[in-house]
Amino acid sequence: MNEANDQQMWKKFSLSTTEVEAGGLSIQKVRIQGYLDSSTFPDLQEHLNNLLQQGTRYYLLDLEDLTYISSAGLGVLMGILREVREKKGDLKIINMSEKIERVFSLLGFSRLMKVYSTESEALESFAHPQVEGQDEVPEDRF
Amino acid sequence: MSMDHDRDHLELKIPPRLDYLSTVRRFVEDFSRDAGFAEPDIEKIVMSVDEATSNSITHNGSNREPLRIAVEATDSALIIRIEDSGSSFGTRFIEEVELDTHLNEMRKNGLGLHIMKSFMDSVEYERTEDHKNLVTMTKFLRV
Repeated sequence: MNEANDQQMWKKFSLSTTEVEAGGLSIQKVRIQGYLDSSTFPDLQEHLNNLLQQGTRYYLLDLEDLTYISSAGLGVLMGILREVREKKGDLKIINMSEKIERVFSLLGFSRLMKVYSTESEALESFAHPQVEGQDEVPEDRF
Repeated sequence: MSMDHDRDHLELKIPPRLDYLSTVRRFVEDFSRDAGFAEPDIEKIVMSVDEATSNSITHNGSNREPLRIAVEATDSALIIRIEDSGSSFGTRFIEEVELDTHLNEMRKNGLGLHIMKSFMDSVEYERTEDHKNLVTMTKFLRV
């Protein structure tokens, strides 16, 4: 087995993107599956950077099938969040598992990124940003 | 990749490639669970080892020597040693990471060390006499 096939065998990460609309805004819904670590984060980073270069300012990340996230993955999210907010856009998250939620909470990421229980709540918050729709992420979940 | 097993001690050797991180995580997760740890401590241990291993591989440069990940369970703790043959880490493990500053400035890098130091009960680094980096992390078993 050559090195390229060997690398592909261990890589378990995929993502898909669909466009949704809310309040006249075009939002890219990105569904992330698998693990987001130092080996897989470049794929997400490239995908999100491409969307950014195409002018996307609103992102909805569906993390239902995200099984693991490391600092590398968190760094990608933080980088994109910074860039979209500089462009007056935003990034929101839905369907976070308890495990990922604990990591976010302990590292303080809940303060930066709004997490919603349902897609409809998240879309509503895009359409009407003055409405507070964030679920409280409990502290000390660890 | 190879493993040695002796009572409560296991050792894993991997090529210095990031696509082996998932293997390391599964290895540490299974050993931690067998050693009597429960969630969320297992998650903390796995994340810490992942960060340390990733750091070793990333800073390994062109060195192709395998990394060694050794886990040892005592009656009260889990001790994990990660050894690589890359260049010295210097003062990287001494630098304190201010999480609030990191978040406020939305810094992309530097979280790995904070995760290790927050999630494990101790994190130590030494440059060994045979010119290897050795990171030793300890997690105490909470009864």
